[in-house]
Amino acid sequence: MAGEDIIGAVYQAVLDGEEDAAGKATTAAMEAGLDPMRVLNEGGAKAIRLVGERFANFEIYLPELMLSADAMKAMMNVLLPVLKRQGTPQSRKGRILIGTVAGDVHDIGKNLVSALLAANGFEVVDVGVNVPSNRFLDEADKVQADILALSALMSTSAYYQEEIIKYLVDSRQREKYFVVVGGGPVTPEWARQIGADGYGRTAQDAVKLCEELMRLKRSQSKPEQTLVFA
Amino acid sequence: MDWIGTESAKVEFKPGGPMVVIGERLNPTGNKRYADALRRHDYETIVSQARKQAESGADVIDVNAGLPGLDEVETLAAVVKAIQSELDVPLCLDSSNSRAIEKALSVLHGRALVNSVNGEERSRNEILPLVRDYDSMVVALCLDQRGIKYDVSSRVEIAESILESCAKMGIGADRVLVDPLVLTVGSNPMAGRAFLDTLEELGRKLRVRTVAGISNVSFGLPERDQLNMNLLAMAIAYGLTACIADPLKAGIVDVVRSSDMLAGRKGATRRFLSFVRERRRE
Repeated sequence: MAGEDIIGAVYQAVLDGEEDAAGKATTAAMEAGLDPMRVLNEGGAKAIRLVGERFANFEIYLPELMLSADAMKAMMNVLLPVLKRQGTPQSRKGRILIGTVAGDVHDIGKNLVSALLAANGFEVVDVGVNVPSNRFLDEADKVQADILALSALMSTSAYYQEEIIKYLVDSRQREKYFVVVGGGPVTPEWARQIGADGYGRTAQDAVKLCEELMRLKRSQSKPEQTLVFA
Repeated sequence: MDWIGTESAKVEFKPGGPMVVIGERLNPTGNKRYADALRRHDYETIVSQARKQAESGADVIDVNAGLPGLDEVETLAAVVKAIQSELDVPLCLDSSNSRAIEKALSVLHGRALVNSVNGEERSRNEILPLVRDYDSMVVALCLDQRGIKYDVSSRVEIAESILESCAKMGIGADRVLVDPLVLTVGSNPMAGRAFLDTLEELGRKLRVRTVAGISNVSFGLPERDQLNMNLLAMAIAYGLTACIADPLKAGIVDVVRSSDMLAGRKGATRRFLSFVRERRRE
């Protein structure tokens, strides 16, 4: 198979949510010596962007979206070791610590954002759900995160997004990380009010937001106000 | 002591009795008009949304006042006062903030349902003393610090452990409604099955009262109303004591009234017939 066809097979497998096929096609791509970043960008990431759009337009539904996310994970499982071995500047795209804040066990949206960020080349550390504020901060320090992504799906747990930012300010660490927030009850106004660096409404918005923040970071700059992608 | 409200407006949670409908609309997540009303302290709109639910068949009104940027402690108590000054309807206090629950309980007339406690140590320590001191009923969520489990035995274990903590505090099992957790079938095909199996286990084995928010099941799926109503009917067959639902959604109360009768729940036939007559008059 030509390179184009193999990448096409990866693309199709992720689009159709075929986990096994995605793993096999990606393995075939690596055996054929294709550039893993190309497989990622022109295969899985391109497919998952389309899947995200279709989901937003109610053309496909959550079960199908989840299958595509699983297929993409299968692709990433093959690509990641190769990328690491090659020392491809994957981590230079940015390291993101993501989780759902304390008192909240919702994980669907957080998992989607997590998967989409990984598909777009970010290094993602997912610390799960119901994460106490201090654990977020310990983990961020441990993995040297660039961005903290805080998910809250309940109006009552969004408070912890504020708590984490407050703690960073009080302990004079606010400059260490960009903090972005999202989730059902979270609004751009809330993000501004608590002093977050950014707000993303959908998983795709979150990717654009993180890309913009990393662009600013590379130019040793920071957002002048809360960036809103919606 | 399985009732809430006041002597003049009492709602009982009887296993085998008619399903109790807890109206879910007073929640800023997903109800923009209510969220705006909270921000503007527009209690007229809030009371009218409560009234509409009661008129449509809600036996209890759930009140959630958690809105990022608002002081939940003051807001929840203010909403409780506003509703009780106009309506005689039992309330369900929906918050994970124990200070907000406490303040609301201190201004509330009659007995309330506290929504909710879960298996975490902190939640039990904060919420249960309030339930004891204010002689309330409480919703117990089948989850703990480990998050959500899909298997029936883990969920039942958590329920048993919370019931034990309640008993130690003198809160009888008849004051607890266990929520087996409804998750979306959209992300786990066994979510509905796990809910029904847990429900059966809780009712048959532990003989506890149960409550569930039904609409989660259809998140991310098409034809949500259809899915919700079908699960509601199944849950009634499986003995669910109370549901948290939107009584203004066409068909929801119909399902409750008709399924109650079909499942042979006490007093349901009379209730179904008067419901139908009432509607024909309108």
